Amino acid sequence: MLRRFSNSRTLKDNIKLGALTAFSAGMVNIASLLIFFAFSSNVTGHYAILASEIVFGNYYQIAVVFGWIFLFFFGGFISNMIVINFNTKSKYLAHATPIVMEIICLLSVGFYGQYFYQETLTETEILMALMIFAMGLQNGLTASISNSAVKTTHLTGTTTDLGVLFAMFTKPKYRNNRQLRGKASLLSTIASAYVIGAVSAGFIYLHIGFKLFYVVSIFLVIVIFYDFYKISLIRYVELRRGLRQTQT
Amino acid sequence: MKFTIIYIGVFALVIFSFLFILQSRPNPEVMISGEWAEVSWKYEKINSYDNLDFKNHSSEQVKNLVGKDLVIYEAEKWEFLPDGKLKLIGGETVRLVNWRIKGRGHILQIKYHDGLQENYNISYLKHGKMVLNFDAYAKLRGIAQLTFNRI
Repeated sequence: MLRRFSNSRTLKDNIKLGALTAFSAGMVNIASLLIFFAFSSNVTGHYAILASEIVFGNYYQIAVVFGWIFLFFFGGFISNMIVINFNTKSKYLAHATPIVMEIICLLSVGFYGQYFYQETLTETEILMALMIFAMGLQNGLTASISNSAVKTTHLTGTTTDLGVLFAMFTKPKYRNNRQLRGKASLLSTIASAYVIGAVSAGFIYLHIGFKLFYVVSIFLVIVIFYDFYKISLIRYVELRRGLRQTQT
Repeated sequence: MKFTIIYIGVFALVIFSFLFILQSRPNPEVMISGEWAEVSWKYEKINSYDNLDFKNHSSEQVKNLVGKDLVIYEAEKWEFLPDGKLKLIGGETVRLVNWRIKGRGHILQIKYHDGLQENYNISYLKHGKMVLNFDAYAKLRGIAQLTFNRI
């Protein structure tokens, strides 16, 4: 999922990455909506809200929404900075670091929410800011390493692309195109994973509250350790092969 | 090097402007504190053309129609205390409940001691006037509007 970069990634790599990260994005988004009454991954919506707050002259709200949009941007910026600067040293580490940062943000929200949250507006806005930054990190990473094929929090684009693809599939020449079929299955996986993540998080939240963020973090840990395990396995096999060759 | 300075400069400017606006403008939690008198109840939106005449109903009629099941029904004066408590005063009766502001400062959440909570959309909170909107389900579906003036 995280080892390969850009065009060297397979459809399978993108589907696995897209499914797990979209699932966690759906969970985070519904959690922010249920707890804080604001979306953490719907940046298009925040732009619309920003415009309406400007129209009504609500300066405090303008600053808050602008800050959230900036943090989503900054998350994408940081993610890509890490990827492009450390890719040459270790692809896996460069790709895993933004996910580790995302986990730290989400665990902080969960921990603070569970033990200290007094439901003040300042706390709400800061916790929302952390979640939006985390979503920016994740979306920036997935888009960056997959050559923009995987955008897990960007369902406006996903839904548009699916509409376009399904219109194309009415013609046999597009229907039989393997690349287009692959793209459709990737996008459908992302959209379904997002919805399943959101719905399940909605139910889970009712029972465990802020501990939900620990559950989301577990999914992200799976993303990191899946490749870590594969890399370790490949290294182990290579080491064994090398040892066998030196013995003979 | 030149680009790094430009990037740091732009980011610093954005963050500084953001913090400046946040510091210089009152937080909705501060703006809502104090006493408010209920002025009117009305239907802002109604889900059916057949019931459009409900928009012309008097404040008392709308209150009786949509507010009967709400805890705020009897209150004529609302006093938001800074410790997160809200006094709902109606005639001789006073109820003490909890209030919180959520979202970007646009949701008023009222929590009752039995665990029940009601959420109101703050659509206006300026110049001594507060307007709350909420989804009304009783009898007739629509969006109800509750207006207050600061005392």
